[in-house]
Amino acid sequence: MTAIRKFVVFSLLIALIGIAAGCARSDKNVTINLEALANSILEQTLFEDTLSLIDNISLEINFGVKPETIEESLVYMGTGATAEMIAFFKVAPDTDVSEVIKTLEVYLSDSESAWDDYNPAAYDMVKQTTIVKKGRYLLICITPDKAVFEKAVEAALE
Amino acid sequence: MSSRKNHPSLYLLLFIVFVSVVFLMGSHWSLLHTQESKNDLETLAVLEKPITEPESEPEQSKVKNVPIPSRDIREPLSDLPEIVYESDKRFNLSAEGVWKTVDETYFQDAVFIGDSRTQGFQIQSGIKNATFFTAKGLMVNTALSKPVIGKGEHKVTVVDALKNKAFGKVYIMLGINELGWPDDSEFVKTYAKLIDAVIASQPNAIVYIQSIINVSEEKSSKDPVYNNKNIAHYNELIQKLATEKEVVYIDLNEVLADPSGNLYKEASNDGVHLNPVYCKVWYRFLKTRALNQEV
Repeated sequence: MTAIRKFVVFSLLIALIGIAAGCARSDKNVTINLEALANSILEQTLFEDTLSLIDNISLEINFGVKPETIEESLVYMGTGATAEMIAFFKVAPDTDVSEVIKTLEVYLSDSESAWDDYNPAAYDMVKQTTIVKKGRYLLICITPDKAVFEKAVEAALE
Repeated sequence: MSSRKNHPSLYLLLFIVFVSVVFLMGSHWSLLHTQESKNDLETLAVLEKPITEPESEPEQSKVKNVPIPSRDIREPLSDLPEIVYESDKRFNLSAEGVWKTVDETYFQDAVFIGDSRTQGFQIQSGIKNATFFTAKGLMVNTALSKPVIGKGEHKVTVVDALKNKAFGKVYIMLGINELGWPDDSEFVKTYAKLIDAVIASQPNAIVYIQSIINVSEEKSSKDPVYNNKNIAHYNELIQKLATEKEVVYIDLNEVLADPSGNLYKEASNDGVHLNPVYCKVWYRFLKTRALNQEV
């Protein structure tokens, strides 16, 4: 009986360590092709505005994020007629991801208040937007079709 | 005795289970928290209500968006639509040679003040190194009174933001959000106050007042307020004010409106906000409308 219990305890211990290690690894070693992800979203979403790739955007001026804290970024913006936007960031290895999240939360909060009074539909869209964290990637998509974005992110991880 | 000997193993098991559960909950909590915390943010206080509200396009006019390659943003200016400049007769400063053409370095000490259209210009025109004090729905009164410049809780008014740095040029484009005001004299009076505040804050800067850009024919024909007739009236008031205040007036509609006075149809999705190509036309035009101070 004692031997069986020891076996059960040992098995559970191994299983739990395995689960914990697996979870930890899956959160850190994510690689996402940001361009492919953006293209997937743009192809599947009926955005009201036309989103254009902004390749020389100032991350600090537009998002409040210091450029040295970002290893890779990809931003699509519209004409200003709507709040629609795609903004993807890969946080630099020596940067605390949570600090960048806090900065981006301020950006979203500012954006929300900017659209308040001005365009109720855009305000609602921004209010429902969250920062999706996958490893060191922070993904923001202000979109009329959140489900497409979420599915595209999951597909990008496979 | 046998059960007592097994107690350490059971405690170990319970401990491991507890630690593992805590670890797993912690790792998932951070993600959950990131996604949900924003929903908990309180809605900021309702301030002065801007009037312009972009209208949704009809369902049938929506088009599936496709990614625009990065080279599209950097394409040479020669690829942009041909523009024909009219004479300078409409400008107050009509002397020969009053305008000079400049390159992008001219805007390094420039600040742009405006609403969502100027925000679009900032992002889509390709202009670099200029400063922008802009806000959606910004009006001549809120530029004086509403804290919109900055991030988070550290926002100041446009006029206060101007006090922090000396600029060589100040470009202002406001007025479309004010078209619905019941009294246009109030608009002129408040715009005058704003210009006075800008000059007081930036005494050595050239102040450029840009006209209100016209809207598309479709927008103009359907909207009782935000139409080109009202914009033309306001632009007359603005031009007159610019003369009185001895600041430079630039008529952007020279290049952004078609011969009928409507914003080019292909320039905008919603008839109000300019797309990247026409933001570049706007930027190129400003480069040809720099005040030649030697004249």
